[in-house]
Amino acid sequence: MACPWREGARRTRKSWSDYCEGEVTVEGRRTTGVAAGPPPAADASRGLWLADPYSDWPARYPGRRAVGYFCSYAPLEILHAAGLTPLRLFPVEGTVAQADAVLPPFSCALARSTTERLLLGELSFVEAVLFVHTCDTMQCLADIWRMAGTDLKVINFPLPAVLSARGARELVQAGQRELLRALEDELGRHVTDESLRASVALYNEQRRLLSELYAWRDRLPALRLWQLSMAGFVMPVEDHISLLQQSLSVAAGADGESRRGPRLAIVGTVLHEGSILDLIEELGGQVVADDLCTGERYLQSSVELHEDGDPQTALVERTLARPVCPAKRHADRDAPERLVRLARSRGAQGVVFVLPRYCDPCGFDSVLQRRALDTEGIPHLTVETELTQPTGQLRTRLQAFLELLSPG
Amino acid sequence: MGRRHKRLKTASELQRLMQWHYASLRLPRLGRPLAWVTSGAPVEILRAMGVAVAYPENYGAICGAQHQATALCQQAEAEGYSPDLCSYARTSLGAIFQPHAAPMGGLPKPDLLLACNNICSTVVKWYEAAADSLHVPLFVLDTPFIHRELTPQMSAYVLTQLDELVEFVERSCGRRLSAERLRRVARQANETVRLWGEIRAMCRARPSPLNAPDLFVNMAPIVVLRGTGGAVRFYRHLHSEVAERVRDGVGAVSEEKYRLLWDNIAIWPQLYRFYNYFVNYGACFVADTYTGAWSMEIPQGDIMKGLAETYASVYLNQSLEYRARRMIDLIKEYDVQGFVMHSNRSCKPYSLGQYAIRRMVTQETGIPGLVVESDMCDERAFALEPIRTRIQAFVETLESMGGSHTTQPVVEGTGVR
Ligand code: SF4
Ligand code: SF4
Ligand code: SF4
Repeated sequence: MACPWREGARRTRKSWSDYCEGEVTVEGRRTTGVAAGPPPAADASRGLWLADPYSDWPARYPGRRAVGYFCSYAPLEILHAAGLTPLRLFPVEGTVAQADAVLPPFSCALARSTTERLLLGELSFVEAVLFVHTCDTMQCLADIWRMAGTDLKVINFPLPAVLSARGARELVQAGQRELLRALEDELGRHVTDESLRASVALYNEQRRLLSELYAWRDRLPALRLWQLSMAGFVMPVEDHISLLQQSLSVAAGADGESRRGPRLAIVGTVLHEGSILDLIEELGGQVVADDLCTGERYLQSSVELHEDGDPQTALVERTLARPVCPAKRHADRDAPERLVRLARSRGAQGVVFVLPRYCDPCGFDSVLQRRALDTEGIPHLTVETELTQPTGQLRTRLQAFLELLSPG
Repeated sequence: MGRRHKRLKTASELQRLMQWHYASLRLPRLGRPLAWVTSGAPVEILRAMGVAVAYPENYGAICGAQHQATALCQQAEAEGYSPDLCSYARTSLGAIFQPHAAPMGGLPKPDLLLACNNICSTVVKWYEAAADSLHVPLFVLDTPFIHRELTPQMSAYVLTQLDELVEFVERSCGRRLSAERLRRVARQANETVRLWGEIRAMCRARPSPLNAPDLFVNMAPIVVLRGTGGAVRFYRHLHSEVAERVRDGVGAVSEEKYRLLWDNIAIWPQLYRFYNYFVNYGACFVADTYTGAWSMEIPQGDIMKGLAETYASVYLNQSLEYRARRMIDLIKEYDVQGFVMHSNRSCKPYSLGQYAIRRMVTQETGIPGLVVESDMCDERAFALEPIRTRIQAFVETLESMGGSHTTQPVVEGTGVR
């Protein structure tokens, strides 16, 4: 019997980092220009260094104490208010030899690549890692990391699987209280109401600026937008805010390009590989929307904190109100319907799913989503990624897809 | 001379019981609604509300054992489901899409679905997909994973949802919960669990009266018929047969030489062939982590609260350290010399942490563990030769670690099938 697993994606040595360099400086590396779009902003001097944000992080941010996290549900405001710098853990280029000894081959790239960093000691500067409860893989990974025999502290955050469940609000509240206690007991960090308010304001500002930038999708290349979003997850939020401000002023000065070509929406989880966005534009398409945890899903909905409101309650409300991830359920918010609405409202003519292999939540959701798109007559293409993706094949498939969408 | 796997006398009773169960689902239910539920769902509540239940996971296991699962998985794949997803889910969805191609024509269409994520998050997505195809309401009972301990907030959360569940069933099929009936069902469930626990505990005897395939096959009623009188009767009979074996010194594996511990779900399509490789070396699986996952009694007192805590604390809803400690306990209690972990590509929550568990168990007990990669249902993932070689090497390790006399493996021709 043919084995469906042996024919899977082949590995190449390219990863998202290869495509992040753009006009951004990365020492000792080839710099590839990003075609079209605004001139390089002053952010070049800051360096987005997306090739590997981890190995020189402590040198880049001396005095900063990093706390690792994976999921966009992590209450960054609380971590920040504790005086920590949240640092999101993404897959990075390279082999995963160490991780292969502790994880079976059917684990997703995110799990394997980050575990490799951990076992190679590359995260030794990180004080603690916050695991939000999401999928089965993350659930196991939290324990595997705790048992790995490193000094890293593991903090668990119990997010309800059903965000509409009765009692979900109280569980998130309890989770936040536990997190505050863990920060206090294990890291000796106290969060005051005042500092939490300040952090909420900062992250709201970051999301607001990001939204503004996203509203100008037609003024900057999709890859650039992706870089600017990704950078925010691995740099201090204060720095990211200035980076966004600069980028916005550049974008404001740029001409709104009258782009043509098929309009696409990108769907997935963490998009750790930006090359596909570049490829879409190179082949004459344009990205007009996304449903990604590193994209619009992160920036939608802010923490509604009024003057006399309680910041903790406001955080809970955002967690329950924000766009639902594939690993979560909300009885009245259905993923297929939401996607159709997104595509319709942005005039997307086609949808590209970029799904990590071995990701169960996406594996299930995408079937129903594709079915809903079929019913609506919206064409779609699915790209499965591991740590990397076969570029040649991808180009051909995207080309064919875009031709299908092009009139005439 | 072939070592043989000894068949239980109660085997035909088990078969009749399960056949009756599946047949009864097809009989006119006189207005009784039917629910599909996950193996870790608090079925007592549904039974007490007069709802009939079917278990797609058990159905998947049956399809697997009958070599029908792979074809059904392919049906699901044709509808867009990735071959990397759980094969119970794919089998069940395949049977929904193509019932005429499925054993027993698939499960009868339910009126409602109940998924409890105390075994995995996959069931949530799987049941969402089923609800979408079957157009029936779905209730998801969320039991937060226990990385350290079950906190009062977590139990309160589960308890709140149990109330919500009762309202959901009332609303979707107009059934009421009778407290009296709930007590009776819970009593029967506890009786089943107690009997099954004792049966498993009897495998501490030397030689062990049961081997892994016996445990796997005989666990079906504890999952599917827990809380019914039929299950209680069956386990009483099995209990006395196993006690008789122990009294007479009859082992499941003749000439028991090695006592092993099994981790993860069975390899259903290979139920006898695979385990016979071990039987041939005189190795018997005297304990396992899987069939004990249902050995939880509902505490006396407030039954709803008891249900909340019991179902939140099942084996798979607890940390890897907890599981490692359970394995270490089993190794001591059952005098085990080695353990075999099925790295089951279907089941991430059960399989992803096995290397971490293995390390901890071996460190503490000094006994070796073998990891075998396969799948519980999808036969495309079962590679015979490498597995055979690894088993042989593993037995040699056991031998070198304390084997007394040499074992002459009888590899071929001893299958009981
Ligand atoms: S897809 Fe879900 S689990 Fe993954 S980062 Fe996003 S919110 Fe978290
Ligand atoms: S949601 Fe998917 S990609 Fe993310 S950790 Fe889980 S399995 Fe991996
Ligand atoms: S086999 Fe594993 S993943 Fe599949 S339903 Fe069972 S517990 Fe969930």
